Amino acid sequence: MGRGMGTGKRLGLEGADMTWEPSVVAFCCNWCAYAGADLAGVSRFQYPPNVKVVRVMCSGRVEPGYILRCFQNGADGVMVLGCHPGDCHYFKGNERARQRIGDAGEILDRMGIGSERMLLRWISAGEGALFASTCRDFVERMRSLGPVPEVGCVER
Amino acid sequence: MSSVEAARKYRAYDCVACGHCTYSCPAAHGERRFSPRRFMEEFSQQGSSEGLDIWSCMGCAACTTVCPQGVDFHHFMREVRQERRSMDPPVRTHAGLVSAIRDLDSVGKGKGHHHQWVTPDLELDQRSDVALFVGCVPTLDVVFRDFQSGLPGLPRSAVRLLNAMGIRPRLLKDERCCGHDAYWLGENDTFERLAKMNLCAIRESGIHTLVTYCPECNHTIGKVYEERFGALGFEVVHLSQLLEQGIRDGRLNFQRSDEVFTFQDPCRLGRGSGIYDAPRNLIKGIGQLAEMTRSGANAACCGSTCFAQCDRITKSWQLTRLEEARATGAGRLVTACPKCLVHLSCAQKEMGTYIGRPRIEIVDLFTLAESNLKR
Repeated sequence: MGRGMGTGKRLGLEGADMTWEPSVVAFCCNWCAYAGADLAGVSRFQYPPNVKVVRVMCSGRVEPGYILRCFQNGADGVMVLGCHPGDCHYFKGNERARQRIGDAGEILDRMGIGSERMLLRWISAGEGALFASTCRDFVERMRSLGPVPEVGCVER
Repeated sequence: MSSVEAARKYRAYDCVACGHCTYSCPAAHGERRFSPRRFMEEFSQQGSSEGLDIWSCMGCAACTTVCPQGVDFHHFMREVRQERRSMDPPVRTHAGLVSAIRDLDSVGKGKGHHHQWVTPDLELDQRSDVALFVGCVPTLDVVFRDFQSGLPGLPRSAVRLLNAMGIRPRLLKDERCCGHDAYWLGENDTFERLAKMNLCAIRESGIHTLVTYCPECNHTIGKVYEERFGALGFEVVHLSQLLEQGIRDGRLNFQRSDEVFTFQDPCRLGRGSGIYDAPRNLIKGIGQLAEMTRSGANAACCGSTCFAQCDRITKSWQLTRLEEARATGAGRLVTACPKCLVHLSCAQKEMGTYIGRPRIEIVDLFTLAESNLKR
């Protein structure tokens, strides 16, 4: 459980809730959001280090399964960031992303994790500031939600 | 357990290579590199089965049923899969989404399944002694609703039928996937985590009867959990058994018509749990039953299990089964398993619209029963 994404609890720091930091995965499309993240870096816009960026060629590439695997391995929130509608490098990839991510949200709701832990946002290559503020807001929202509940009934 | 130990336990060395298994095997038809007889031959001669496609096996137990020597082939196969899983993984269908759902469930994340399918007319009672095990069907609905929109109706029909019998079931607070697919794919860790969470949730609730409408949940909880973890401390009943009892008591009344139905026996309900008559009596209470050539203990599998290794051969097998259903002259094909419903509907959608292929409507047993209830 929880490979690679250390939160306070999984690093063996039980009882030290103050060390818990939300762990957020951001799938960024190569053509828009990833370039936006680059711009945020070049422009020195600050955004929290909790965000782990994964570059994909298109937001439509992000399968619902990827998002579930993120939660399985310890993520507290997942963002999918792509081009604005009509701007997709592959014409319709982001429209497909909207449908796939909608499905993923429904699965998360039905499994009791909650679609509020997932975000789909359109960020163009010129919107470095929007990238930084989206990351800040989402990490803050995850911080207020707390870690994903682990209530699997365990035999005593 | 190594495959050699498993071979001893499941009497694989008793095989006399008669080939009954291959004759009955749904996976051996078509050009796959797999047949039970060939598997046993290579295993007993070379001690291994490398090069054979072990994931083709559907675990439907048709081979075990016909074997004159009593070889428990499908259980043996499970152990072999467990041993070879890391070297030779299966092809997962639906982009691995179904296995991702199961794995996420197995790490205990989330507040337990959220029952969004519950409608206000369903009578539930959280203090009841009877619980309905819902399983993955409402979650899988998201994956399969493009070609089968009836999945969220299954738990609803189950509750309505129970209500009609005067039973107000409870829903478990923290149920997970039953682990059927993990068990038969040889993913032991995942299975054990799921099973322990479910057993804990059921025991904590203090119920004495667990009703399932999915044959796989029924078999996994009722048989496999018991085998693995000892006495359950509660009773597992398939909904069709309860309903059959209800018809006999006169607590349930159906509108009877002359419509002819045919019935697809789910592997885990028939060969798995030995329940053949209950669903048939239910259908006979609603209309007439025309049996397919292969039915009962010899029923043909719906062609795919555990959401792995679905391909062209699987599809053609499913089409053969649909043709068989049409040949009975029945108006509707009744299934009692959500997976049969999904798989046969998928085959119907993909290939069933060609000219010269008459369609047959596929309906779930409990949806059918619920819509024919005399209120």
